[in-house]
Amino acid sequence: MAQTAGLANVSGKPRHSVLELRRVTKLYSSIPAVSDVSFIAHAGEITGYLGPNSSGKSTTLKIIAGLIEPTDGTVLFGGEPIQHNRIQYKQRLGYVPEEPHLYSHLTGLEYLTMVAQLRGLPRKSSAEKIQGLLRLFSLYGDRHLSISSYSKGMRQKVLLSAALLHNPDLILLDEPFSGLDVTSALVMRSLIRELAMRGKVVVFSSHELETVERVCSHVVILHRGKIVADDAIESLRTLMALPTLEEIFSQLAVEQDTEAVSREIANLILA
Amino acid sequence: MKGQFQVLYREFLFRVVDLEILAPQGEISKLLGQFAAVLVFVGFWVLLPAVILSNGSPSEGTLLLTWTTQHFIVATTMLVVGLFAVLSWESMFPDRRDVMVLSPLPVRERTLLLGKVAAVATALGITVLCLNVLPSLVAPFVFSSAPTLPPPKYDPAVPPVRVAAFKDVLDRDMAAALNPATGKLALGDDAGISIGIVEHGVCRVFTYGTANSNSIFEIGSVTKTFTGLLLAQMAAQGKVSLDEPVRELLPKGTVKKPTGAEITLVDLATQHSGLPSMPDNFHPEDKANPYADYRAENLYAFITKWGVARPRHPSYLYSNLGFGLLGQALANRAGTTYSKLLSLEITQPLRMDDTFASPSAEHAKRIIQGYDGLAHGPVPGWDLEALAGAGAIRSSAHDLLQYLEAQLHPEKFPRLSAALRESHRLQADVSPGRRIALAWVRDASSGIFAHAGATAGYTSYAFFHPEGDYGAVVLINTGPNLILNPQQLADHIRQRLTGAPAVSLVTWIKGGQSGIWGTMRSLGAYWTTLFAAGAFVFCCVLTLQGLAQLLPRQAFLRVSSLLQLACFCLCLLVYFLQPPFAKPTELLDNRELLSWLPSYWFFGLFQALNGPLPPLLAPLVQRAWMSLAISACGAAGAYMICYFRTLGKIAEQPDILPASRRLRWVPPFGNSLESAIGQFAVRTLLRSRQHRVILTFYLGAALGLAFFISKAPLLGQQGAATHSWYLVSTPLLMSSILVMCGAAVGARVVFSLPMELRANWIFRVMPTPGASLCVAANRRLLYGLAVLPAGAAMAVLFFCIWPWRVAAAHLVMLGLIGILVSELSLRNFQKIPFTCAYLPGKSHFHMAVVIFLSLMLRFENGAAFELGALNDPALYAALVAILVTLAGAIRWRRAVQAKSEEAGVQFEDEPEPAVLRLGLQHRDGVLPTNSSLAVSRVP
Repeated sequence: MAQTAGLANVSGKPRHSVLELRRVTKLYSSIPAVSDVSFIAHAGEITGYLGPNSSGKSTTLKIIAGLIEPTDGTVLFGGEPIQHNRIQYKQRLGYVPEEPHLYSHLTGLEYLTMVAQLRGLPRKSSAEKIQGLLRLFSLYGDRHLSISSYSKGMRQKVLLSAALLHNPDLILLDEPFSGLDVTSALVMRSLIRELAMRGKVVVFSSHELETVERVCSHVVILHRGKIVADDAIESLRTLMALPTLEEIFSQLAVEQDTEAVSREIANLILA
Repeated sequence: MKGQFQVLYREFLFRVVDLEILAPQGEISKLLGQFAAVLVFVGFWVLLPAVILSNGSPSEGTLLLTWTTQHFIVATTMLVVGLFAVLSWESMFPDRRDVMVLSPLPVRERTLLLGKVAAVATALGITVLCLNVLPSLVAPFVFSSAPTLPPPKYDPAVPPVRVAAFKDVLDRDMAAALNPATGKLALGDDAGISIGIVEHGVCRVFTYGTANSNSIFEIGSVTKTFTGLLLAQMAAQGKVSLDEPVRELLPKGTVKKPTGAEITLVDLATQHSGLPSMPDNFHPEDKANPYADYRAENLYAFITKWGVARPRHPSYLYSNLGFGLLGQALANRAGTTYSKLLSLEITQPLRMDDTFASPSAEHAKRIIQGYDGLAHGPVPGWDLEALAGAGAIRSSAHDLLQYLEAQLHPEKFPRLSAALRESHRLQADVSPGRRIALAWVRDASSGIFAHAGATAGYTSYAFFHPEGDYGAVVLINTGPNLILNPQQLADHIRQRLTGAPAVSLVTWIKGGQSGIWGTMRSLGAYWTTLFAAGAFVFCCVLTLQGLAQLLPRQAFLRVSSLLQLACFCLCLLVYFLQPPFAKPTELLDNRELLSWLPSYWFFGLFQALNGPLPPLLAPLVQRAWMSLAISACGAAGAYMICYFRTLGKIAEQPDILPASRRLRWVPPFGNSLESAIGQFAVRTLLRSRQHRVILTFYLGAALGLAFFISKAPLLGQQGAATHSWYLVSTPLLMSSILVMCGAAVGARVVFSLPMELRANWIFRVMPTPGASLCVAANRRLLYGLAVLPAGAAMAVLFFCIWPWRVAAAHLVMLGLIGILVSELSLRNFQKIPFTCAYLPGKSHFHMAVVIFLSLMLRFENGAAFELGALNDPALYAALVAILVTLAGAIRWRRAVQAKSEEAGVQFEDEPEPAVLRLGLQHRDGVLPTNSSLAVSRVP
């Protein structure tokens, strides 16, 4: 069984905006991609979801978003299993996937308009919101260009706008900083904080430990599909007696001697 | 260098065909297998009749069948290569991906280009090979022993023969035209020939077969020379003038005076009026006697519609309508009928008692029975009403000799001498070396004035040589055929009279050369032709793309996809629209057209390589070689342009089109969800090349078939008797139903081709409520994108050509059929268009083709039934009620089905490869080892 550093943090927040995973397991042809994952994310709290490549982060987020059915276990939002009323759940969910897959033949504006229509948002107010988002994300000048000509950062902004358009209660961000320039990343960082302060449940996965350290109050660390840590950053520091998240992370989730590996690579090339 | 070339060659070859277009995520090998099965099936059925008949005796029928088969093979190969070229459009030249991937590597641009050229050439070869390898096992045996039509042979020259001594020579030469088994004419046992020759005032008539010297024949279009003479005679009498507008000879108010120049009588008599060959309101009740019910009212109705404006520079256009109108106009001026006018002005003065436009009872007995040129069965005679001036006259060889003698010596017939001389005055050009007088056409090289004629059961030819003082007429009681035509016989006579080598009268159609040598030759001809035809089509497409590359890069990217679609449509339309030949003589009739149809050039090439080349195909062969050379040069040029101009620019400029002129507004499709789905679908269709190509394929095929069924009257002007645009007819009803079904089914198929599977997650995280709304959205889409546009297009057509009541009734029917097909095709489609994978390997494409072909027959029955219903209000109402009930029932079922679907909207996700699915190390491309999976190290 996985050893979890720290215990699940249970507090008395209102039930309706708590995300809870209970022993979620996903098997792919009997090989576990995620096994026995349980954690709770509260409203007003930013949960950082960390792990090395292929540790099962994206799979977990896809399960939470309802894109994948877990093999075992349940996901509850507001105390109710998400499959009970999927449509209502989806109305409260905003999701930014890891890979910026978009219908690239549409323009940014058309894509966002389509999302608004699919969500059944009122036409006029959603149009204003879209215009505003495009302006704030500095996409307005390119709104009539097809997404295929967008850079990775611009796509990321489109995805984020699409996820926030309907004022969701639960926001899932799968590596939202990838491809963003410095300014946008800073905006993004404050935006995440701002959203949490306004009572949203925010779960985001990232490799940028520094950012996570600054933004998140709570981190979950995943390794080989299992949770190896789930606690507030502060308590992790105290518990493991390590000064930074990076060191905590290497301790928990990095199994290679990075320096030795890099030496070997250099030797191989030079040979 | 060589290694690089090989690697690039292999890489390019595998990517030549854009298989994504055909089978995104599908089982490609299975799909290709099904394609192969269909091709084998088609090949088998095409060759079967030829195999069966190739052993029979050489006849016009087997010759025709062989030719049709050969042309079909050539045309189909060209079509398939054309479609292949369209599918591999993007991979014919190095594209942005190639340049971006390969330019950082130490690969020369030259190697890159050579690899591309080699790959494209190989792919082309493989296509042609795959398509034709099975027929090639049989075809050479069939084609080497099939009948052929060798060029004419010449009998050795003899000193000029005098008319008085002509009989012996003609008897000897005619022996070649006899059937050796029966001793009768090879044309048929009932065939009869009358030949009249006049030289220096000496007249002789010779007859063969069933004809005797009193036999009366239909002389067909030789009538036009009589009509021309009538014009000259009335002009000489001052009743008309040659340059008088024809309008003035028609009943008052028939047609308005045009603003510019108008058609004059001499324009009509010299075939320079610009009038079409036949009027478009020619709908014979009795197809065997088609002109009998075309009366003056019909003719005037046509002229009222067409007008009498004269084109600024009219060219020669052979028109039965023109001469018919001239005859009617002259009769109007004379206040009588064409028949009486002819008798009064020509046949009485020339004492031609057996010549008439409407037969008396006594004459009728002496008219020799006419026979069909192909089937050799008896056919009824033709009676002409309003178009009498174009071909109503019947006559005998004796009378026509008198007529020719009058042409040679006008001074002997004072009443007509001025008119005869006038009718020989050359007025305009026909073709190089040929000029036209009043109907008579003079050939500069032989110096003769001549005119030919043909009806269903008769062929004729008359000529005279004023300087040589000789002339002849040949009358045959058999319709147009390739065994013996009167012009050949007349040429023979002329050559004998002048002492030139005379064209042999031997039957042209010959058996082929079987045996090893013949088979090998056929095999060689088969493959050479098909590769040449394929290369021609492919090189044309390459040339086109090469020319487009001369445009600025942005413009090229914009134009490229349009060009691709245009090529696609062109291939399909030319294939379906090109006239097939129901009779070999149609090849002769459509010579002008054939010289513009590439499939006939290469058909000619096959004939040239396979055996003796029929003379009528000779010009085509030259075109085939020339076109091949030109297109090959074009393709080479295209690659040069690519090498020197495009390659450098690809990397510099992005492949992205600027957004400026893109269509931004798309109409709403109902509520917000329906609008989202509808607008998404419209935008996808407008912007995705792949989807457009597939939709065009369905529409193009449906349109092509529709044109094919409705006989493409635009092209077959000669066969105007069968043309039926303005008639409410089964083929047109059937065509319109076909187009409607093609549009609906095509749109439905395109909906199920995914646009970007990986972007589908956006729909999945949306709170979309259930399948029923989705079905409603799809229904609206199908109506809006397929049924309505197709219906609107056909509404325009039908309201133009049919009475509005019939058009409206049919459109209602068509709309109901469209709705029915849409509802049927929405079965099991609780999906958002363009989001779900279509798996062609699973779609039983080959079965669909077979089912479709058998359904085609039902379509015809259905259309015939509808035709009945359009004339019977009660039946029509019942039919509409049935269709409405049916559509309603299916729609209701669909609604029930959609409501019962608990899972909501269906989605298909891209099946991820196992490694990716596990999400293990795939970014580094490292496979996890079993040991690392088993070990779970815990800090």
